[in-house]
Amino acid sequence: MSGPLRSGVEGRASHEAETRIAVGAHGAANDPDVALMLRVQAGDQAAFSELFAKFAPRVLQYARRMVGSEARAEEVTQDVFVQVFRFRTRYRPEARFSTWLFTIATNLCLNDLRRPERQLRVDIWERPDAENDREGPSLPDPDAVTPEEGASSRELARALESAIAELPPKQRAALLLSRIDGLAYRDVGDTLGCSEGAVKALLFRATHALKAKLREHM
Amino acid sequence: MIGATDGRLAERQRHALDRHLARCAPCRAELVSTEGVLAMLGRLPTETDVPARLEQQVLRRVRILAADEAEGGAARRLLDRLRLTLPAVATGAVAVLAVVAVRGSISTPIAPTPAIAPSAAAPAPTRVAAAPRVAAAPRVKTRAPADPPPELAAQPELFIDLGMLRNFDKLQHFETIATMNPDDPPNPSDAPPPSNG
Repeated sequence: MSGPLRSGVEGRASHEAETRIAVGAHGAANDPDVALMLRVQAGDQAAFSELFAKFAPRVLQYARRMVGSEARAEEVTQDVFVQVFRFRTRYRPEARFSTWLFTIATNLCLNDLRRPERQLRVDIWERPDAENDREGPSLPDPDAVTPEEGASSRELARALESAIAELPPKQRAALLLSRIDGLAYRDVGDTLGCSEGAVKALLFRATHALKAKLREHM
Repeated sequence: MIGATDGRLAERQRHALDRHLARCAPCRAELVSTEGVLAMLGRLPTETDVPARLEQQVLRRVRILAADEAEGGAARRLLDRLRLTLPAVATGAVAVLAVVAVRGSISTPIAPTPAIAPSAAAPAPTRVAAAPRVAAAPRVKTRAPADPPPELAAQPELFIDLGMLRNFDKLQHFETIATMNPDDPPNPSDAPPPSNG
């Protein structure tokens, strides 16, 4: 069948869902992340270092997009991994490690966004244009071969990051977890404490808002 | 639409959507724009460089945490043990108190039975239930004996050596002063002892 659906984007979510099924089918012992976490549970600090090296880049990027501040993102990432160690005995290998990790990360990010002193600190210490002054991440577009196309790609990436930053926190979390970090809808629901249907609704609204903001770039 | 872009629709739903899209230009445009946004999101970097200081800070905090856990482990085990044993101890104490209370109520004379020793009167718990406490005989207040017991009276030297008794006259005098009413007529027998000077 060669309809429009066939030409759709192959989301990371579906890949993640397949991985999830694989984990369930072969058991936790075959999941290297779960095995690593079980070693951490047994008090192996070297395993914790491995876990940090593997997941910190993702968690830090997620926290940056969630809290919108480099310094706060680093603090949140630090707290995430300290909590992973502190509450390591609560982890159950039936769950994917990334789901558990991003649940902690999301809770800490949402807590940070709710902090009353946050607004004051942002107003005092951070220039609103500071992020825009930076070049920003470029989208690795294989078709962008000319400098003009490269600049356009960077501009688009900045616009996209800015549009994501303006989403309400829960929509932002759902979008980032599902579309960028590749968690399955069910895992996103577990992370945000809502149903799969609620996740779809969050994603629909977030995507709709992004389309409205990026219309001029598309 | 989101489900469609993920390829999560069932076969029947996909056919239905395809049929609709074939004749609905706005929905086709909507799907294309949704796919465009999702494609852009998919190209955003999922990771970023982690500063070395962040890793050092995390590992330092974790080492401190592990050390605290190791130190607190013994104390926690002791607390756990206490947590287990305290209820048992408390239960035992309550049981002991209950037994003492029950035995106390049983040993209280219920009826005037002067000839029977308390231990002999104790055995029938039904008696406690049958006889309410209001029926118990009033307690007779026993007064201190005026005279010492014969065995002590036979050894008067035990008393004579007591300093308090040596000054007993003075004590009586002070008691007289303390209880004297100044409005009363003077009693010659209450006159203070002559002074030495």
